[in-house]
Amino acid sequence: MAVIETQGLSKVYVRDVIDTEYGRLRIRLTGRKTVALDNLNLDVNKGEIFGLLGPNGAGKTTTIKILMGIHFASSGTAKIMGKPLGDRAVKSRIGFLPENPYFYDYLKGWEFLDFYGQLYGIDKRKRRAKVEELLALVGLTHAANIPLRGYSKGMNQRIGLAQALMNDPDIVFLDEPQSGLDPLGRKEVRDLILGLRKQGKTVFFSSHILSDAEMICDRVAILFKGKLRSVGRLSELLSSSVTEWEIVLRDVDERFINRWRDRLERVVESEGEWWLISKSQDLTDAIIDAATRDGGKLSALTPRRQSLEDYFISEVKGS
Amino acid sequence: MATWAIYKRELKTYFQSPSTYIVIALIFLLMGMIFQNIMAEFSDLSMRSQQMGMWGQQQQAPNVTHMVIRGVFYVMFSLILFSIPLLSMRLLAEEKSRGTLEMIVTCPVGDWSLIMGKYLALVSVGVFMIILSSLFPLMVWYVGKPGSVPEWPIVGSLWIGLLLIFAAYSAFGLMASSMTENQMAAGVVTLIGLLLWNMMGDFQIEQFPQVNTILKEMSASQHTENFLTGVLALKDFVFYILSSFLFLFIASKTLDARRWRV
Ligand SMILES: Nc1ncnc2c1ncn2[C@@H]1O[C@H](COP(=O)(O)OP(=O)(O)OP(=O)(O)O)[C@@H](O)[C@H]1O
Ligand SMILES: [Mg+2]
Repeated sequence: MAVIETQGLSKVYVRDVIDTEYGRLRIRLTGRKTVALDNLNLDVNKGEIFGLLGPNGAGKTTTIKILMGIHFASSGTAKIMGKPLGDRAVKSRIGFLPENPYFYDYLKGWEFLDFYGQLYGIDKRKRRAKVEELLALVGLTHAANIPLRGYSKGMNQRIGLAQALMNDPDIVFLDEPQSGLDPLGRKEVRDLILGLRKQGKTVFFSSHILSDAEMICDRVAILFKGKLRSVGRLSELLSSSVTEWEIVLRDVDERFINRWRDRLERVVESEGEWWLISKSQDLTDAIIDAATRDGGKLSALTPRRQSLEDYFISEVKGS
Repeated sequence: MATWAIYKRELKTYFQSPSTYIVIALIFLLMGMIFQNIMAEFSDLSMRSQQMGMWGQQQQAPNVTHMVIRGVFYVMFSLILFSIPLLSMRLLAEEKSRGTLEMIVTCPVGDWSLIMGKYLALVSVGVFMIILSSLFPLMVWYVGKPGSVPEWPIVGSLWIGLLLIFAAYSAFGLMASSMTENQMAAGVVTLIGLLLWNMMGDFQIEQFPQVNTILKEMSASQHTENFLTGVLALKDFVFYILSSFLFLFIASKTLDARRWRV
C-alpha cells in the first residue's frame, strides 16, 4: 500500500526582484526562475525505507519540503496516507528532520523537545517520558540541560532526529540525516532507521552519500536536475549491471582450472578451494557446468554488483 | 494548546532578551524625566494659585490628572509607537530567516495559532509596560497633596486606550514581520507605517472633502485623542480591534502565500 504518492509534481522557484545574494543586494528582472523539480511520480509503500538519492541541487530537499507542506508545488499533486498535503490529522502522524536544523538556540535540549511535544498536543506526563526516551535513543541524555547553542553539529543532528520522533510518527521524513556525523554517528543513525522499520514505520530519507543508502534502503529513487532517473529495489536497479561473478569451487584439480585460466580475471587457491573471478555470465555458467560434471562442488557463487556509487555516476553521466 | 506553547516560548524570549529591557528602560527613563518636569511645573502652578487665592482672586486650581498624568501618558502613547517596531520586528522575520518556521509548519499547528501565540506574547509585554506605568499615578497619589488625587476613571480610560493602541500597533508590526526575512526591514516598515497611520488625517485634499473625512476617521491619532481626554467611545474600541484583526489576517495570508514562491 502506498503511503506517499506523488503525481506530476513540479516546482519552479521564483526569486524576488529585489533579493540578497551572498549578503549583497541584487535586483534582477530576468533569470529569476529555477526549475527545481520536474514531473515527479513516486510511490512509497508502507513500512519501507525509501531513499531519495541525487547529487547537490537535484531537488531532494525541494521534494521533501513540498511533501511537508512547507512549499507548495507549482503543479502536480501528492498524497500522504491517502490525504492531500496539509491535512492536519496527517501532520500529527509524520515527523520531519530538516536539512539544516536550526533551532531556538536558547532552549535547553529537553525544553526544545518538550516544546515540540506541546505543539503536537501531547500531555505533560507523556511528554516528559518521551523526552527522556528519545534523548537516550539519540545518545544525548548527558546534554539534556545544555542550551542548543552549545551543541556541536552532530549533536544538533541528533536532537533534530529526536524531535522528528517526538510524536511517535508513522512516517518519518529525514533530509540528509547523516550529514555532519562521524562514522560512528552514521552507523548509529543507520541502526536507528532500521529500528524504525522494525516498529513498522515508513522512512523517507534523502542522501547523496550512497554507501549509507546502500546498506539500509529497500527502494531508492535517483533524482538528477529535478528529474527522476530511476526508481526501484536496489537489487533490481543494480542487477542489470552485475560486473563480475565470484565462483568458489571445491574438489577440482589444477588441470581443470588451467583449461579456463586464460579467460578468467583472477584465480586464487587457498585451503583446497579455488577462488575464481569471471567477467561474463556465459563463462560462469560453463565453468560451473563443467566443474560439476567433473565431480567438483560449487561452494559459493556471488554476483559482484556494481556499487551504487558506480551506478549513480554512470546514470548521472549518461544524461 | 499549540497557541499556548508558542505564547509561552515567545514570552520567555522577550523576557530573556536584553533588548526588551533596554526598550522598556528607555521608555520609562523618558517618561520619568517628563514626569519630573511636569510635576515641578504643577507644584509651581498650584502654589501660585494658592497664593492668588489668598489675595482673594478666584482662579481654577490646576488639576493633577489633567496636567500631570495625562501629560505623562501622552508621552507614553508616542513612545509606544517607537518601541513597537523594536519589539515586533523579529517575531516572524527571524523564524523565517533561521528556518525554524519550517519546522513549526510541519507540526499540526495552523498559521492562525502561530500568529496568535506570537501576537499575544507581544501584547503581554504591552500589559507589563502598562502595569509599570501605573507607577506615575500611584506616585502622584502617594505624594497626596490635597487637590492632587488622581481621577481614577480617567486613568483607567488611559490604560485601556494604551492597551488597545499597543495591540493594534503590535498587529501591524507582526504583519510587517510576516512579509520579510529581514528584521531590519520589518522594523523600518513598521515604524514608517505607524507614523503614516497616525498622520493620515493631516493630509488634506481640497477637492475631495469626503476623502478627507475618511482619511481622518481611519487615522490612528484621531482615535487616540478620545482616550486621552478620558472618553471611552465604542467606535474607538471597534476601530482598534478591527484594525488588529485585519493586520493579523493579512499576516496569516502572507505566510500562506509565501509557500507558492519559495
Ligand atoms: N528557495 C529557493 N529559491 C530559489 N531556488 C531554490 C530555492 N531552493 C532551492 N532552489 C534551487 O532548486 C534546485 C534544487 O534544490 P534542492 O535544495 O531541492 O536540492 P537538493 O537535492 O536538496 O541538493 P543538496 O544535496 O545540495 O541538498 C537548486 O538548483 C537550487 O538552487
Ligand atoms: Mg538538500
